[in-house]
Order: sequence, then structure tokens, then C-alpha cells
Amino acid sequence: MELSDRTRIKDFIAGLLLNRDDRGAVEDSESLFVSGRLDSLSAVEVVAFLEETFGIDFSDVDFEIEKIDSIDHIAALIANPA
Amino acid sequence: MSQNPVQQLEQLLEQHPGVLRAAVHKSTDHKFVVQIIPNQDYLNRQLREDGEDRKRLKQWQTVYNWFEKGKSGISENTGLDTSIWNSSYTRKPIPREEMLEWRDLTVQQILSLNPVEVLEIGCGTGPLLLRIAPKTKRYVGIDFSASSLKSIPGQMEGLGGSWDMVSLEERAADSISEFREDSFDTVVMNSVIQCFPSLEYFKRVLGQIIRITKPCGSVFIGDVRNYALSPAFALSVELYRAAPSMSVSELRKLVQKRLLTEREFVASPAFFLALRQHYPEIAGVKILPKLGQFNNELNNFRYDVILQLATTKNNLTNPFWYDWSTQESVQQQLFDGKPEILALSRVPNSRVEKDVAAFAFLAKCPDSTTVDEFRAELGKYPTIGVHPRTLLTLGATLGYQVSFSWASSRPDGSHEVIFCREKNTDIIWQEPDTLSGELSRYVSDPSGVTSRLNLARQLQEYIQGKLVPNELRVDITFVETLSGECN
Repeated sequence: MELSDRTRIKDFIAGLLLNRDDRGAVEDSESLFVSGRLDSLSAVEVVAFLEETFGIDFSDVDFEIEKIDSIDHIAALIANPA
Repeated sequence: MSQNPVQQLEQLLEQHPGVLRAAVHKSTDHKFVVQIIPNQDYLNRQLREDGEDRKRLKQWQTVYNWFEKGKSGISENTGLDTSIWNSSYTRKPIPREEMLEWRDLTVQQILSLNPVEVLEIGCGTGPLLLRIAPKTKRYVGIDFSASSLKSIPGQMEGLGGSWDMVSLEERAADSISEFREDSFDTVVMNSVIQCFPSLEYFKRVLGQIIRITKPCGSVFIGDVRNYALSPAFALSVELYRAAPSMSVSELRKLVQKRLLTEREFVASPAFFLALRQHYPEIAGVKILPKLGQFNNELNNFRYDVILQLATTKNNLTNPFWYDWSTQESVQQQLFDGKPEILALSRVPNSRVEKDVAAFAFLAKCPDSTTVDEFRAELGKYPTIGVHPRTLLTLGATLGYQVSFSWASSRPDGSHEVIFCREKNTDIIWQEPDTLSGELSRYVSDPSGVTSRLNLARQLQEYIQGKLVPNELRVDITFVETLSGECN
């Protein structure tokens, strides 16, 4: 189960990077947003993806972008949404 | 009767409620390529059920808050966070001096409306507010991002002086109905509507704006991306990024994809003219191209709109329109004839003419052409366009006021230009020959795009593990007619 979720996330992130002509490899621990590799528009896509696919609730105002800043972070968030 | 996998997959897809028709073929590398005619009723139903508009806005809001929190690129109390405005071409921040020009010209436009009581929807970190508010009696700034608003008080303090006229509120654009009727003479919405999820949302907001704006007031809608130039813009970005060895057929695909997956609300100037058919309160519409000097997507592909809720007291001038010929002949006409007014139609626009020509050329270019060859061919195209700044300078030299309009909404991006001796002459500008009341013709459809992308995702999961091996991505595109079939 864990593996499959992670694959979907990786797939999605790879798609976003590809949209930006970024064909470089992405490590699971690598920063995506804080590093500037992805921008705010991509962040909207990630939020939409996580809401729709995994039912994550982003309405909590204290939510930090760091929580979705890498594939590792996103996988952890899905495993433990609270 | 045995079926091959392609037919089986087609059948399976057509059993999904979101699919009207499906066509599957195998590509040369044995991947499935799927074309879908979506079931429009299904998509619409999903949009309604999901409250897609609301959801999309919440997502933007979340992200705006993130990006404004912590890292802030606001410099010297300008209200401009230059770290968040990236060029579509380079994906790097647009240079600060270009953003300052953009801000200053916008401030000038708004001040020309003589604002006294202002509502700014989406004031962000305050680039306009900090400049305009001191010249008004009352300035209400609202934004859906609390983090953005938080940066404003500190900047006001840094700038000094009295800011008693300013009040700030965290609010979305469509929750302004609590303001009293006729509260404001000027409502400003700059670089905001591109985040709107749909035409319906825009209409809801505009309805509320009109109610709270005084009958003599104006609505300034700034920094609108020009839908009439969307194809030229999409190509210009993709061409900039493309590797020289890429084939033109690949480039075409990228451009198509960019156009089909447009997630921002983009509007043709004709849209704002057509609004008059739905909102009788709108008496006048001005479509103002950007007049900055820098060569960037803001100047080249965006414009400002002023909706006037009452006609001006001045009589409107209805000039005789000359078709543009050459800059020399215009110079001659102004210099020799010294007319009170000279109105020029179809003035070719040097800022976009190459991009427009490139898009036309792309359609007829053989598939095997490389991007390198395509660029070389384009380089040979004769250019006849004139830069708005050139005409501004010409007018200033000969003692004329020069004004521009994009109201004709031509897909070649040409302008109408007036040289006039007198200041503040109100002109009846040229408009498209016909204007449809069907507003959706003139705008992009972000929520429609969202629902199609959602359906694509649903279909991926629907077929995976059934006929398609796990983790294999299928290439799904949405079409109006299946290829190989006639209409």
C-alpha cells in the first residue's frame, strides 16, 4: 500500500516537473518548493491532487508548505494526516 | 466472438459514466493512446457536486498564504513581492525594475479616475494601496490571503504619514455583499481575475461590485491576460523553451497542451464589451493596452479595463478612422495637416506580430521541420509593426495626446490609436463588428479544465489493474470528434 501511494505521488510530481521542462531526477528527500524547483501554480496542483486523491484537508491555517516540500514529506502526510 | 485488447479497452471505457465515446490505438512503442469524448453532463454534475469553484479558490488561498508566510521578497515598502512573479518564459522572477514599471503605470491609470472612496479587491501585499490610498478619503483593501495583508501595516509604518483612510479585511472577492449600496466610487481589481475559477464566479463578483459602486463610479480591472492572443502567447513561450532539435509536430503538441490545460481565467477584450448586454449599468468600456517599455509578457499580452457605470458629461467624439499605412505617412499627416484629431485603425503591433505570424506559420509547417529551422524561417518574416512607445514619443514631439485601445479584439493584436490636440477627449473606439451575448465564447474555462483533468485521473484508475497492467500510464486526451471519423 505504502509503495503504491508513493508511486502515485512520484508520478504526479514528475508530471509537474515535466511541465516545466525539468527532466532531472528527483530524490524522495529533495526540496520541491522551498528550493524553487516548483512554483506556486504547481503548489495549487499538488494541493488539489492531495485533496482529491487522498482526502487531505488543507483548511487548517497553520499548515506549512514544508509539509509538502518533498516526496518523503507528502508520503508522511498521507500516512498520518493529523 | 473474440476481441482484441484495443476493442476491449474501448468497451470498458465506454461503460464509464464520464465517457461518451472512446477510441484506443497502440502507439509505435506499444503504449495505449486513448481519445475520449467526455460526457458533458457528467462533468457538469461533478462540478456542481464538488463545489469546484469554492474548492479551487481555497486551494489558491492555501498556497498564497504559504508563499507569503516566512519568505517575503517585499523590498523597501513597495508592497511588491518580486519573489512571486515569475516569467512564463524563463520561470525566473521578472526583474524588479520591470515590476516597478508595471506597478507605476497601473497606479497612474487608477489615479486618472480621481478615486475618492476605493475598494481594492485582492490588494495582496499592497503595491497599489500603498501608493494610491494617501490620495483618497477612504481605501478598503481586501484579500483572501491573511498572510499577504499582514505585511501591509508594517510597510505603512515604514513609509510614515497618516494612514487613517485605510482599512484591511480578509475576504474573498465574492463576499463583498455586506458593503452598503453605493459605498465606493472606484473599485479596483488588479491582477486578480486570473485566479477566478469560472465565468460564473466572475459574474457573481461583478454583480456585487456593481451594487456597491456609486452610479457615477468606475471599476478598474487590471492586468487581464488577452484571450484573443492566447495561441500566440502559448507558442511564444513553448518556442522560447524548445530545444533546437525538437520537431515542429512535437512543438505543436506542447502548444495544444498548454492551450487545452489553461487553468487561469483569461479574457478577450470583447468579453468586457459584451458584458454591457448583461449589465445595463455599464455605460462605457475602455480597453487599455499596457504602455510600458519593457519587453515582457505583462506589457505584450495583458491589458487593463475600465468599466464606467455612467457616461461622461463630455460629448463623445466619433472620429473618422484611417487605416494604418506607414509611420512616415502618419508623421507627414500630423506635421503637414496639423489635424485636431487623427484616428488610426489596425495599427500593427510590433510587440506581438512575430508571435502571431509564428502561430499561423506553425499550422502549415511540415511535421519534420526542426525548431531550429522554424526559428530561422520566422527570422525572415518582414516586420511592419510599430511599438506603442514610438507613437507616444511621436505625439509628444508634435504636441499631441496619444491614446490606445484594444477594444477591436483582433487576433493579430493590432491597436487603434488616436492623436488628439485636446486633453481628455472621450472617443467612441472601434469594436468588433459583431458581439455575441454568449460570454463563454470570450473567456477560458478553468473549472472545465479541472473537471476534465479529474476525469482523466479517474479513468486512469478505472482501467488500471483491469485491462492495463498496474502502474502503466495511458495517454488520455479529450477530443470533440474521434480521429479517423468524419463529423
